[in-house]
Amino acid sequence: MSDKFSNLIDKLRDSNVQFVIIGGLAGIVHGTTRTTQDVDICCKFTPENILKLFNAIKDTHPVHRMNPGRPVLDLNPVNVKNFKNLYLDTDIGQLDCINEVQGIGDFEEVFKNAVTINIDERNYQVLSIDALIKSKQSLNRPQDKLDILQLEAIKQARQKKENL
Amino acid sequence: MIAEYEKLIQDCPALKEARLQGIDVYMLLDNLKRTPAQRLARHRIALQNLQKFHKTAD
Repeated sequence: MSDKFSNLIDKLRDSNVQFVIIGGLAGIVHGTTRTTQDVDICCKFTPENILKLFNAIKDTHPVHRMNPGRPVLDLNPVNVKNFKNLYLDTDIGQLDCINEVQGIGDFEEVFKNAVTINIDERNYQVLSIDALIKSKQSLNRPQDKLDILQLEAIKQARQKKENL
Repeated sequence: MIAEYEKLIQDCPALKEARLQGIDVYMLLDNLKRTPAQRLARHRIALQNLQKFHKTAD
């Protein structure tokens, strides 16, 4: 998987970080044909989980990509409590970690709305098609409208034809 | 394959709508026949190609 999927996702999974794949990457896993350059995940924002995340990716030199000066991500048991979202750039790609998904809810709700997808003999939690549609309807940006068209088409095609 | 896809499109209003809005539904249906790992592999190739073009443009 490492070269084919996302090293970032593998690193998180290998470190037992609790997360659900959301956004464009979730759509691609379900079958959409668009491309995306970032990895979006919803994480449990407990200090323990976010420190696990930090330790998993710190060798990729993560920086806060939305902050002026792009400061280096440097988390410890005290400052970790200050973060509710992390928008990061790393040596191996952009990683956005959010604590809730618009239209769905917090991590617990997102997890309930996730499906387990096996990729190269490893299981990943991915936001379900229905939840992805719901969140994209809630966001309603131009890209979301195109994604919804594809996701609705995928859903209906699968209902009509089992092997899709 | 084309006949199979056309029949499916006729049976699925959402596929019809997607095509009407400019989505390449043949590409979409081809993609659905792949495993998630194959989809991700193709996505990575597409992304690498895009990045090559971006580098050329720079």
